Amino acid sequence: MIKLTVDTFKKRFPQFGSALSPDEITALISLLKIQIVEASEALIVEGTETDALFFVWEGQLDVLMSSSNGEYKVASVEQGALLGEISLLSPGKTTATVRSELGCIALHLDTSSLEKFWETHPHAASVFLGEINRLLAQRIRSVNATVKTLQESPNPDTDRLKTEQHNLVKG
Amino acid sequence: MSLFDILQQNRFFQNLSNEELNVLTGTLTLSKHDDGHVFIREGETGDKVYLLIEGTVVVTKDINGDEQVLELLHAGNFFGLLALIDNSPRNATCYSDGEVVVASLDTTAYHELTDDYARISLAFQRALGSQIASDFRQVNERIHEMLQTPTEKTITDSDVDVAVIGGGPLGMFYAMWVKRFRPETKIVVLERRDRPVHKVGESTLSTTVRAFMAMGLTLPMMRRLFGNKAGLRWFHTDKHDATLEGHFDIVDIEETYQVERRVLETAMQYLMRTRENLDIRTGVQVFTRKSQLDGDVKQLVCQDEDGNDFTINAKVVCDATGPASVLPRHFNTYRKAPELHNTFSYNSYFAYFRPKKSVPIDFWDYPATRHICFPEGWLWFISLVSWEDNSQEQIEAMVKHLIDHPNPTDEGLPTREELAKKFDTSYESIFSIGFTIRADRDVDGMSIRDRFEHWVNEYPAIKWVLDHFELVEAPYEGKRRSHFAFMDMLHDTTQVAGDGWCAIGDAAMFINPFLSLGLNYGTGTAYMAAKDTVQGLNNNDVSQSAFQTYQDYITQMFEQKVRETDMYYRSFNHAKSYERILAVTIANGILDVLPRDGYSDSDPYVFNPLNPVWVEMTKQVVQVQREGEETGRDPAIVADEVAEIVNAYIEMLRETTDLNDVPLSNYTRFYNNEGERLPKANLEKERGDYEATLCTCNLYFDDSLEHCPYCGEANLSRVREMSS
Repeated sequence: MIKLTVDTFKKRFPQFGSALSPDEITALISLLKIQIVEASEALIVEGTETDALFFVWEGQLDVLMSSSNGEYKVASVEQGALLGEISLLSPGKTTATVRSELGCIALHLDTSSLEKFWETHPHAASVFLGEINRLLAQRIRSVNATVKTLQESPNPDTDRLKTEQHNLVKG
Repeated sequence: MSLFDILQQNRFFQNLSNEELNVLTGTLTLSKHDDGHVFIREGETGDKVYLLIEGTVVVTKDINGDEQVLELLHAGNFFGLLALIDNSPRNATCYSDGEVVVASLDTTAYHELTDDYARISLAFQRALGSQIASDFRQVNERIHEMLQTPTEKTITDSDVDVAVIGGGPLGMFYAMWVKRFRPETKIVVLERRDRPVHKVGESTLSTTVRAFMAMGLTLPMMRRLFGNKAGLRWFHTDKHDATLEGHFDIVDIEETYQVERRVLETAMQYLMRTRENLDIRTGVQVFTRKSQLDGDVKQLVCQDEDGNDFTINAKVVCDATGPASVLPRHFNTYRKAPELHNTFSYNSYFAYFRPKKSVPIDFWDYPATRHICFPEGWLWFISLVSWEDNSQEQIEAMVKHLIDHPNPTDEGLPTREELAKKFDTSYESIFSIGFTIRADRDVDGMSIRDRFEHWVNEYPAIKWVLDHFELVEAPYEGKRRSHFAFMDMLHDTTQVAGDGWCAIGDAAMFINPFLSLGLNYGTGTAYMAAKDTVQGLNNNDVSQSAFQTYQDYITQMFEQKVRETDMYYRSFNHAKSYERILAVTIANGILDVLPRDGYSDSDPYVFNPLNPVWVEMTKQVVQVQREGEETGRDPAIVADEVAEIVNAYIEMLRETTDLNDVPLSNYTRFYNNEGERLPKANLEKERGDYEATLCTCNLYFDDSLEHCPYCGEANLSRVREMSS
């Protein structure tokens, strides 16, 4: 299957890898479960409750929002991305469907394991969470700016929304 | 509460040990600030995190150049947490509302502290994460909306079957029925305003409420958003009366509401967009003069709020613009000529009031629309729940929460109080109070407010009642005054529809507000016009002849409603004719207004106005009344003659209809089942099909509910019933 070690984790998720000590990474990866996503299978379904965080290990996934004309692809995410962090931090229904056309591999961290990690490794947890918060704060600023341009623009270009979102999730 | 206690109650900090909490409280700095102190300014970076200890902090954000209040913070709330992320600009402004006490922590102290206390750091990061994530949800929500209505902002020329000008309740009803009767119809609604705003027209009858329900607005939702209306009550007064006489009521038939229009229209537009997938374009002006309105395809020249021009090509154009009546004016079929109908026109003056104290009249507070009638006209009292003090974003959020709720029942939905708390909104019970005066008896040469005051001072009993209220100055956004007027209201059309067009609601006709003509019969016009439109589209012929059924309906209804209101207003000359006319109205209409399901073909004819015998009776009564006025006869003698005609008609109804089977006394406190007037009000009357009960929160709600939909208290009358 896949080789999940401190080194391989650091390579695929450098932003977390560089902030945590090897011991902390070991503790974190011991809680991760590998999840194989089949081609065209949904990892997250819009409007449902989800209680897990996903690290994209390999492959590509599409972020789809339902629109009046069916599903609308707002972004594409790939290796190194994190998914489900909003539902984790602000419980509620998911706002998009995440699906992989060709299949992918993700690492799955469920809420109860994360709660455990918070208890046993408060320092690592706070660094980890601080990193997620930093990413989210950056992303929300760019998304806000996009929404604003879209509202002000007389001819909003939904493709631009798509591109902006794409960059955001990747960034 | 101490700083320690406040932290211990915060869900992110409650797991900290006493030692950790003590360390943290020792690092926080307490300070006191006056009203208006700005802690954080949007766009700037900061180096402090705050915890609110006492008072209120307002959070605002610049949304499209508008400073909008996002939320109010209370003791125990953190703010400014973004300072924990290096160089992150603040995404909102926070300032004190009144005197506040805060505890602050600068980022240097935070880093020193958290080096040693990882759990404190984690608590802060969790609090921050929760805040950013919920902000993110809101942004996602907005993106979602853009995706749901891709056409709304994408201004392009379109070819449609039907274009509706006007996105108010009647435009929505018309669009709904056209879509339901003929789902393949391409229909677009063009609304001038970018968002719903306050409009007069609050009172509904059950027929309109059934149409709301058909659209998806359920009773539990309406209970939370609108003021309850349990029927109609009337009083009569004369210049020499210091008190109100001639009390009359018709109550407890069905649950209806006094609707605040901004809230109602927000809900209707949302329902139509999400459930019927209707293309509603807001902020769009239609230039009828530049448009091509003749020919098989109408070309509507439109402009969006950014000044972009576009064209809508439609086979049918429906005018739902209310008194603006753009199509009848364009086609020269609009007329304002009461003399043609041998009647008078009407003027209305109204304002909004707050109750100061209860009016000491038996069951005054029972939520029926109250009318005080007198020889020149009458005065209305409509109790409203006003949500005006909230932003449109807040109203939308509340409405969506109710409509999208997974369990939209009285058990599942939050109470009105919980709803307000959840969305940080406020509401108030206020009264719309207004005169409608016969134009031929009105005063001239005075300001609106002076005219209002004139009629108050003319009648001692009215002055006495109004002493229990205080005026709300400039109650509605964008209306910088307290008193409003509609003058010379009666109008109709020589032709309500033509080749490929029709006008509905007040765009078709309006008489005056008595018996709630606007929304209630307006709903009927939307229904009738939608039926003809659909048939025309199906037959591929939407020329004038396709609208013949609708045209006949409007012609007959206008003639008869003019006659009826003429009869009501002239009956106010004397207490006896007032009483007999109201009594015969109930006798004629009650079989028609008892509860039934859904909106159906008979609803446009609610209260049975076109019954030929009733039409004949109103003609006779009006003739006697008019001659009486013209020859200056004693109103008491005219009243006797009116009573004679009316009594004969009631007698005939008893012989020819099921009127005797109606338990009349369940629906009024002033008559027995035989229709005889009681010497005084029956305060212990049997319940009707619907009954409102008083809660400890001082509001009335449906007595069949277990709990109050406003505050959640148990239904007292049920508790009493069970214990007895």
